[in-house]
Amino acid sequence: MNQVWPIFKREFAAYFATPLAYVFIVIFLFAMGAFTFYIGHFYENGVADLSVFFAYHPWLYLFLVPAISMRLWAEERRTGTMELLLTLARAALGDGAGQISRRLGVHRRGAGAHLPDLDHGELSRPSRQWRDPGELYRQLPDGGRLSRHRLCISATTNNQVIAFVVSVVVCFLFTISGAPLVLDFFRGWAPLALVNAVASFSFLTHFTAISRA
Amino acid sequence: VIDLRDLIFFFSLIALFLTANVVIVDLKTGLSGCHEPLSRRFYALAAIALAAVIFVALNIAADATFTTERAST
Repeated sequence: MNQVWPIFKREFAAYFATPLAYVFIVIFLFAMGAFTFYIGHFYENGVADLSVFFAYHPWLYLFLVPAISMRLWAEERRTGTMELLLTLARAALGDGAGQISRRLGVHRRGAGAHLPDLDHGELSRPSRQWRDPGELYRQLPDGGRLSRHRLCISATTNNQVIAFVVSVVVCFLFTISGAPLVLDFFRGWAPLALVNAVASFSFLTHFTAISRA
Repeated sequence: VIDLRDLIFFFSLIALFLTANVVIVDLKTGLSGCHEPLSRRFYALAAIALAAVIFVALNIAADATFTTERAST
């Protein structure tokens, strides 16, 4: 952890030194507000749970998280700080963990900013679930696994655009692997165990189960 | 109640890609100690493939184990 903390501080401060982090937070808040209250008809449903709020998170992360993470290693290479980082007496695991923690920190700030939205409104007496801070952190495993994909793919290429596109494609494949369209393709020729294995690797399946909990 | 299978899936996936990330960074910078480019690539691919196999096996095992326990109760 001693190795991770300085890298986290440096990268986290770099995000907020430019408008990049603020732009992403504002986009995230506007998009989640629109998805939850307008497209998801949160108030019209009359149900005091956050299932509508969480339902759109994986799809929003599919584009927002690659956009943040595509520059992680690629930027280090472009600016020439990669050599500086890797010649210091640290393990590569510490670098990776520091980069991830920084990105999760930005992500968590965006998620926490939703709290005032949920404290007032038509449902003036929120249930215990609304006040539960765990609600906000249940999405973190989802953001965490997304950022690992992006971090890994960012390390494979110098080009940020390629990193972004490949990240989106990989995560999209993981997301829809549990969809009937994909499973029907496998059912024709694959054994049932393989079909079940493919279905169990879907992000949506696991994310829905965790958000329901 | 959070299902243990979901936690295993997410954390094993995180471990898989973090491992792949470390291997790729080592490969690009030549920190692995092996100087032959072909050998470095081979070992990197083998390491990532091994991590992927462990990830798949762990999830299938967890799925089978906890689903059986749940059905029996």
